[in-house]
Amino acid sequence: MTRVISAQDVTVTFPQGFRKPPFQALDGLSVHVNPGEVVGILGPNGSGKTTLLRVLAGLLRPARGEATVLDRQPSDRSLVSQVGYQPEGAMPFPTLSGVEFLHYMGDLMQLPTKTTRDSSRAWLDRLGLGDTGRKKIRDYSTGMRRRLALAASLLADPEVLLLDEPTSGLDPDGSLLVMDILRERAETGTSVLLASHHLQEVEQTCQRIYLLSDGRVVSEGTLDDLLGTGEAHLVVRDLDAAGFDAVERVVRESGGKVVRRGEEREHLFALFRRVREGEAEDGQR
Amino acid sequence: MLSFRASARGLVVPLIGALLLCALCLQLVPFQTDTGVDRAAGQWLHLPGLLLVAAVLGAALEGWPLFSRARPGFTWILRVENRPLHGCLAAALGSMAALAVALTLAGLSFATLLIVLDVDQGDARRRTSVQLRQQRPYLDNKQDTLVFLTGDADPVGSIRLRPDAFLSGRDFRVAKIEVRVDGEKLHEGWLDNAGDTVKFDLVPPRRVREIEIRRKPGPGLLLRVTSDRLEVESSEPRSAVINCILALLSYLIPVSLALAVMIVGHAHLAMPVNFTAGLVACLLATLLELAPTNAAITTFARGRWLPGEGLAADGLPVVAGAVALTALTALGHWLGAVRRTGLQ
Repeated sequence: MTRVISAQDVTVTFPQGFRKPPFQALDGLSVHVNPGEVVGILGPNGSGKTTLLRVLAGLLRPARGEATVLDRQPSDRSLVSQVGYQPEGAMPFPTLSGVEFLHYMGDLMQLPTKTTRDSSRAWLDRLGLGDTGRKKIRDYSTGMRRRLALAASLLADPEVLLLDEPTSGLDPDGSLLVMDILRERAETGTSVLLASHHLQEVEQTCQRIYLLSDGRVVSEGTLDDLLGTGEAHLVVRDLDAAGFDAVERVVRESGGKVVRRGEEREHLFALFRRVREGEAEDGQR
Repeated sequence: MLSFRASARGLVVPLIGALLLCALCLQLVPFQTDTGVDRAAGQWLHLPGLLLVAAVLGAALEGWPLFSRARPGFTWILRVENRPLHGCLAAALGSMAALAVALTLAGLSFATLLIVLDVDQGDARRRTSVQLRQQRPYLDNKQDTLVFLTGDADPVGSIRLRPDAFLSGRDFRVAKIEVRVDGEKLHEGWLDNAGDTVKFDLVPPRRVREIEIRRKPGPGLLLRVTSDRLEVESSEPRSAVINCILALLSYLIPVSLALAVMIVGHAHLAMPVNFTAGLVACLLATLLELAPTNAAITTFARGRWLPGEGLAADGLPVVAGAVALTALTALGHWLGAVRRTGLQ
């Protein structure tokens, strides 16, 4: 098995009512994910990201084309525990507590009780919900619900993760945590396909990206393929004005060009991560 | 279990509300019958019954995301649910169990309410029809005596006769009859109004094997007394509380049909539409007397012992219909799944 997820020429249509042509949500779309790969799907609203994930989760049947997950039809019942799926939207059973919800999901996935209990506890703790596991879901904040949703999709230790906007509604802390978890999972061999609007997160986490528009793939490749310009650049730090002048002179003499000189700003995510790492180090001291 | 809990939670407020409303109605509306007993008060039992039925149908829809289309969490559960009919059957059974508990509590409370508010409901009595020994159920010039066999072990406290009368010649008086119990004369006299029930008490109550109705010679109408027109009433009182609970539990029969209709519409109909479909099915089954709910509550209101009435058998066609509807839906789903995925 070389491809964990494969969708070939997938077309999905939705009826729009009497005398109206069906709406084509996916139009001959092809994607694939290799083992241990984190792949992002980017695109504007209505581009077909959620529909693609629903096809791969076995919830929609393509009108044309073929989709397979772990070499099986996506609707194969045996995939339920092997493929973790986190849909977007509201969660069911708002009157259950977080722990009860995970236990119930484990029952539905027919996991052994001990596995469900151990895994629930571990993921609730990891996702910072350990103290609120007994609280009812309706009393959870949006971010807590998204984290619980991720815990549910990871409950069965799946080989494949299909995540629809996993960081939507999360604070930066929560987003960082989710991205860290996804990277860890990928290192252990889990393949991840995630749809997101957060370009920066996708950039930091995904090895390959599919850019969708109107149900079609308009661009695909690694980040280097998509974002690279073929030019090399130099970033210097901790130089005084004289040092900068010297570097500029050398660049010009070597045939290069100084495009911009000024203070470099880092991404907010990088700042946030740096601050957190600093806090952690202080805590250890 | 999940649906049981959700439904039970959803039934608490309607249960309390219905009982408070019942208490108010029983206080405000006077009941007078010719026998001096306020039997008609029992008809208020429909109030908690209908309210709880509506509440449980709503709770079933609310509690299980796959019972209607586009509910929060629909996608979550649709993917992992592996039970027949997307778990709606289990959810329906859970809701019915919760309803059974709520109806039992309502019956208990209503019977207590009748006692506390001093609305005499009296004890229930078992009544059974008798078996006519002859082929012709007529008392006329060719046949002046009809013999009925009770075949009942319970001591009889009274006999209820309600004959049909037919016009004959120019005489408009009904008829003069004699009633004998095991050969012993119990009553002799004119029937005042044919079609009305005439009650003959046995003092002291005793076991009866045979009842004879004899039309006395002379003027009078022809009478017809079929088996169901003569009943013996047991002298042994039965619990009015249990009778009340059983009457309310009869609502489970139309609810089974309503839930079956909702199972047919699950995952296709929006929640308000599916709720309306279920409620309409339940009301039609009740109002058209397909389910013996109305009969059960009337029987309770009249102080008759429900297990002796054979009403459960009257409800079997509705329950069988609900089971068949559910099975057909399951079959349709299975065939659809096989066609769609090739998997069984």
